[in-house]
Amino acid sequence: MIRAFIFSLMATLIWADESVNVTVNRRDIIEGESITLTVTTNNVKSAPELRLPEMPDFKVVSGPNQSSSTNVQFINGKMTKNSTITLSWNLIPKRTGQLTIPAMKILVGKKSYLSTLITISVSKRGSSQAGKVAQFFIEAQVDNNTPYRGEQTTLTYTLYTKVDVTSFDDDVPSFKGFWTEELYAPKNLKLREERKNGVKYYAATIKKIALFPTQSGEIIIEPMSAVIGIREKQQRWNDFSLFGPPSKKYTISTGELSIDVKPLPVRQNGNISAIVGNWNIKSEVSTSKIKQDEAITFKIIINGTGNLQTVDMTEIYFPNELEVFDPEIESKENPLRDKIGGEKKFEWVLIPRFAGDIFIPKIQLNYFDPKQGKWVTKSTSRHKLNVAPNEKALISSIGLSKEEVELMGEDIRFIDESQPKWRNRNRALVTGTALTFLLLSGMVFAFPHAQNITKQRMEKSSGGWQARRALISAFGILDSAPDSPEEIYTHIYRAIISYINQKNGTKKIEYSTEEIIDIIKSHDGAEVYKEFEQILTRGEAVRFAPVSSQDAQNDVQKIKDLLKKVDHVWS
Amino acid sequence: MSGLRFFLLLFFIGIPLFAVEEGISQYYKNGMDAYKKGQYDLAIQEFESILSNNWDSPELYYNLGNAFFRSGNTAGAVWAFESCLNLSPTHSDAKYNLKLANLKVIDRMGLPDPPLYLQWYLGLKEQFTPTTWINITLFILLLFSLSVTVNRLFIFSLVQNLRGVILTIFFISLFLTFHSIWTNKSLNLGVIYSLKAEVRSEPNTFSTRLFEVHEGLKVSINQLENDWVKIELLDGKTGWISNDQIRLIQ
Repeated sequence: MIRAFIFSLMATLIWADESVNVTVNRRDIIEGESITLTVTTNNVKSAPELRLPEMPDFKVVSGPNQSSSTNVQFINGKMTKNSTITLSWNLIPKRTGQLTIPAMKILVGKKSYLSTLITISVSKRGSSQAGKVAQFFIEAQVDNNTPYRGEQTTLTYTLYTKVDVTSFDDDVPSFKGFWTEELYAPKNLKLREERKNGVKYYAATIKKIALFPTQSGEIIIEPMSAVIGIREKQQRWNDFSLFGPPSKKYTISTGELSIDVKPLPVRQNGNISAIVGNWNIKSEVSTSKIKQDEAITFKIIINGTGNLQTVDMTEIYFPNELEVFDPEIESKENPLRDKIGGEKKFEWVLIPRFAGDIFIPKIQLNYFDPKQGKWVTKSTSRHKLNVAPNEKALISSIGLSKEEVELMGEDIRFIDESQPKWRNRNRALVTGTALTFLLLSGMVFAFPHAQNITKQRMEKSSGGWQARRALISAFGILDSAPDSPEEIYTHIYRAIISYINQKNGTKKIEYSTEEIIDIIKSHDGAEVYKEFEQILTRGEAVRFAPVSSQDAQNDVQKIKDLLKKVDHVWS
Repeated sequence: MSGLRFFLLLFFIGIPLFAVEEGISQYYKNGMDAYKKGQYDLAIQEFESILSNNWDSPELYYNLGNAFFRSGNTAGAVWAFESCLNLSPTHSDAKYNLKLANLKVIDRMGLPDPPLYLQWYLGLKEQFTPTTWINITLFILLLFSLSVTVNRLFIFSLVQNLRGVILTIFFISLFLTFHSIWTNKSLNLGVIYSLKAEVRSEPNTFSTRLFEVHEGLKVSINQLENDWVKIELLDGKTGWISNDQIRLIQ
């Protein structure tokens, strides 16, 4: 059906085989519908150059979209080549009535072509003049055409359709002169039945946007355009597509909206702000009884409806006794709402630097209430801080401690007139004193060991000397023996014991004959021990078997020889 | 003959040493005289001559600090008193005068007091210089070795008990010694010596200016780079300043 409306306008010159055509697909449309403006060139050697003329009645939604094709034909052995270049634009009318697309100049190589005017008839939706009913369209509506500056007005875009919609892709305008916040934007269209201009449609809300005018006066909301996919009816019974039923895309648009923004009225006392809406304010302190130099938090909480972004409390003047840190600001917007609003918290850390009572004054919030149409002032309550003095802390505003304040006005102590003990600046860390201590410690530690070693050595050397003296000593005892045989044998016994003791370094008083023989034997006295044994046995028996003095003297001589022999081998 | 040579050697080594000390004492005397006459700049000049000859003493730094203070050089006074306390941490007059000098320092910052046990520990450590701590530790070692030796030779139960106490004190002292040496070697301190110094983010004049410090502020020195010094303030701020704007505490 739509194709039936399409016709071409041969509006330009035809030059031999070369031709340039400017066409539109429809000349009679309903508001919100789009037309396609196409420039087609045939058999030209270079691409056409053109700039669209100023079209105040139309908005260019898309374009230029360029395409080209070449067709070669053989007719009666003769080759005919036909090439086409196409440029197209999608245009949306901005108003209803007889609209004109002005003539445009097209340059192809060195040649210039001029098109004629094209008139498009745009009829109002639902008017009897149109004679037909729009199958689908989109509409923009605002809930308040005359808001105050800063007051919320909600813009709603709705799609109305009588046919199946397969896709929808919108292009939202920039909303110059407004601060905006999106309220609603569904991922899938939710259709409902609605009558529009007496016709039943399926309607779906596409988008809801909260607009806050930032200036007063008339502000134009540009049309929103959208590309909508419409399912086409099956042409033949056996039409089948893997990708579902075929659909066609159309560009449609809303109309322009005009908002008349009222300025905020003047307030007599001059207490005004940029805050518009309906707000409440309250304040809290973490504690009112504190010590000097201890931190507290002070909160201001503002909640209500209106543009939360404009709510600002950072320019608050606290008493000079308080050190104030930058506030932490936390905003929480109301979810699931049509009216923008929420809660904003301002939290300061305050440190009282002086003791005594400090008052945080009332904090005022001035805002304009559009419902009442007047300025409103709300304020927090006053807070009294009871600050106890802190002895340890800094007690003066210039940051001096108590001790330092006491020093103020004092003078330095006099110079030191004692004779300095000069030290080299490159001195080592370890001094002679330290080395002396270390050396002494080592020596003291080593002393018992050294003493033991010395003693052992002494004893060893002393033993050697005694051992060397053993024979002489034994001979001395033997030589001092009196004439009595009993006495002589006693001296022999004593001499042998003395010899053994001195040789072994022992001090034993008594040895048995067996012990003496064993000692002699153990010192290589194998040859002589028997003679030792005989003499010693004689000595033991002398009391009972008298021996002559001569024999006793002989035994003395023998024992001397034997001792010499033993000493020779006893090292 | 060899004994004579040894004494001659000692004599020839000793003579120049005595001569050096004589010269230093003269500078010191001149400085003291100048100070007493109120010629503080001259006194500073004389005292600095001793330092440039590589000799110092706590008394010299203390008197130099006084001269700086009297001449209105706050940075110099802070530097000299700090240097004096570095050599003699218990110098009470230097501590007092340093407090007075610090009153004139523009940049005032302090840290909160550490816990009491840490205060005691740091107080004990800072009672002595690292050299003194070494001497004390080695003296305790000598006492310990004496107790061990006496115990070996004559067994006294008192000495045996004392030995454990001395060993405990020795290890405490050894720990303090190592900590003191480590602090002394790793922590370089300096005093801002120009009226105002711009602290920059990098060691060059094109880098970002971070903040300003003023004369007399004591800072830690973290790094040296050509003619630039990386400083760290008590509050943790760091940056670079020109080498000639700071004087290292001795």
